[in-house]
Amino acid sequence: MSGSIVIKKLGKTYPGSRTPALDKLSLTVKAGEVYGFLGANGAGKSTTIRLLLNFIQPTAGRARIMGLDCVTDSVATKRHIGYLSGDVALWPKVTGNELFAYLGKLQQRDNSEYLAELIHRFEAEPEKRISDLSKGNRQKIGVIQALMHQPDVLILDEPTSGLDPLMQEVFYQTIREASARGAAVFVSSHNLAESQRMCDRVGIIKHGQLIREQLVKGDDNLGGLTFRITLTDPHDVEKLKADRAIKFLSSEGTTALVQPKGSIAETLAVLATCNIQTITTEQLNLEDEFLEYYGDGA
Amino acid sequence: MKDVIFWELRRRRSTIFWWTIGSVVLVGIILMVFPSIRDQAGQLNQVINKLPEGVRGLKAGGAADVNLSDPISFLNSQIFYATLPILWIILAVTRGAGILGREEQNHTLELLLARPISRTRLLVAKALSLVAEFGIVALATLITIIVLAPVFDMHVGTGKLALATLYTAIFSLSFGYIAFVMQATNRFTKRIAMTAAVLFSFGGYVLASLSAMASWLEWPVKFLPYHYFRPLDAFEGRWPHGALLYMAIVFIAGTTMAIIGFRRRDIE
Repeated sequence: MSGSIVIKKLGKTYPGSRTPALDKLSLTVKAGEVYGFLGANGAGKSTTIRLLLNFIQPTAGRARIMGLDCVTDSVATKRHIGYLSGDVALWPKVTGNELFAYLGKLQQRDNSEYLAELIHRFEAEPEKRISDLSKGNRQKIGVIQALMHQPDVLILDEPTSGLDPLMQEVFYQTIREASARGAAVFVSSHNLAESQRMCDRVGIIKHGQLIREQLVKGDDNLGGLTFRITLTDPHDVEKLKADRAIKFLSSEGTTALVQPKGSIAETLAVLATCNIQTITTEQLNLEDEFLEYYGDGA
Repeated sequence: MKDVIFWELRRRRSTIFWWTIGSVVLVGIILMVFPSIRDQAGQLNQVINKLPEGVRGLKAGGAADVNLSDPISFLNSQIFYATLPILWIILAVTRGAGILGREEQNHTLELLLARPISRTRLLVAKALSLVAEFGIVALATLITIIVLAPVFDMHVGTGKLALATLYTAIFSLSFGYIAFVMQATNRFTKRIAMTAAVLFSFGGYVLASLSAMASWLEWPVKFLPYHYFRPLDAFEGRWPHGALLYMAIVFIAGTTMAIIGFRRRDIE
């Protein structure tokens, strides 16, 4: 197993439930990679994160962080992790400074210089009580406590929720720096535009199963020329699927999405062998990808 | 571990302060009325000792009769058997149920468990901070009793007062510890932790006191800790074997159970 986060056939079925909340999930996040974890509510994103942090026990499979088992070496894995929960929960009567000092002691890693830089960068107000802060300012405190010890692995659940666009920009920049330093970043998000912008790769999870992984940055599908073809004969869909000269992305009924593997002329030659009703070209983005899998209303 | 304990105490400092004030003031007021009550003790004793045995049991604190002119009988019946335990049980049970349960409910427990601290260490630190918080309130109360008792003509040895306070404090804390253990052990015991601790403590107090009136209660009350709680033993130099056994079971078996359960259970 190599990679900062390695998940192998991880499963979780909650007591009293017959259907697994997470079913044989396997994925790897490499050092320096920003991995977006996308899915609808209840798809299994939070369950995955809670399993990685050993808040809940897996009923199948295993996960490793920095080569350490998330269950048996849980304490050791936490030395490498920075975690931000979805709905950031902090003790209301303490100040940000008190919180950072306490969590810093528990983390056993002193990074006061970097902490000061983060406070400055996010324009946080650590001298105020948490209960006196707005939602956005509380989120800043949450983000800072996750990043302050410069962890090797960042596990972030909806990290920019409540941050204004300027602070979101600061956050993306900080994540880019962490990634450049070699940190693996695992981000659960509903914000597809944000994921497309921030992530190197995304995984789409549905009903507890990873149904697609997709490179966002690089030479893969996103941003490439895509043909949306409506065919008159359903058999032509199967024909396109089997054709190795084109990249078949997905289909729904008699409508298919394909991309050129080589030249456009080669792709058109393949398409010419089918009975086409309509043909349009488009630039596929992450939102299209996501809706492709969640378009059935699930 | 000490970081967690100091954090808890610091975060809860104003609550601890007010509980301490409440406990000290209550005990102070009761001690203050002793000289007045002593002067009318004859009539009061007659009234109390004529009450039905069960009702008298609610106030007598394990003694056959109440003699309010005697400082030890007064301290036993008016402070150590009912007033102080009732106040302290409320503190112990609310803190015992909340010190872990409330953190879990508010999701702040996740902030701690996301750090390199084992669940066992976290649990032990939480238990010790519960004991420390409770100890501050009990110590301040003991000092008040030691200082004020002679002022109001109650000349009882400091050692006896310390022993009676310690006994009452540990006994009261045990119910909070039951709530704490149940919160930690598993998701089923967690849901009934507060209710079970309240029933076991206050229900036990009422049933143990009333058992003299109803013969059918004699056997079931043997399973209730209040049946064995006799602060008078501390004043009279007797070992409270039943209460000691109960407290040993709660603190030793409870800790073992909580550690085993909490290490493997899902955080909700």
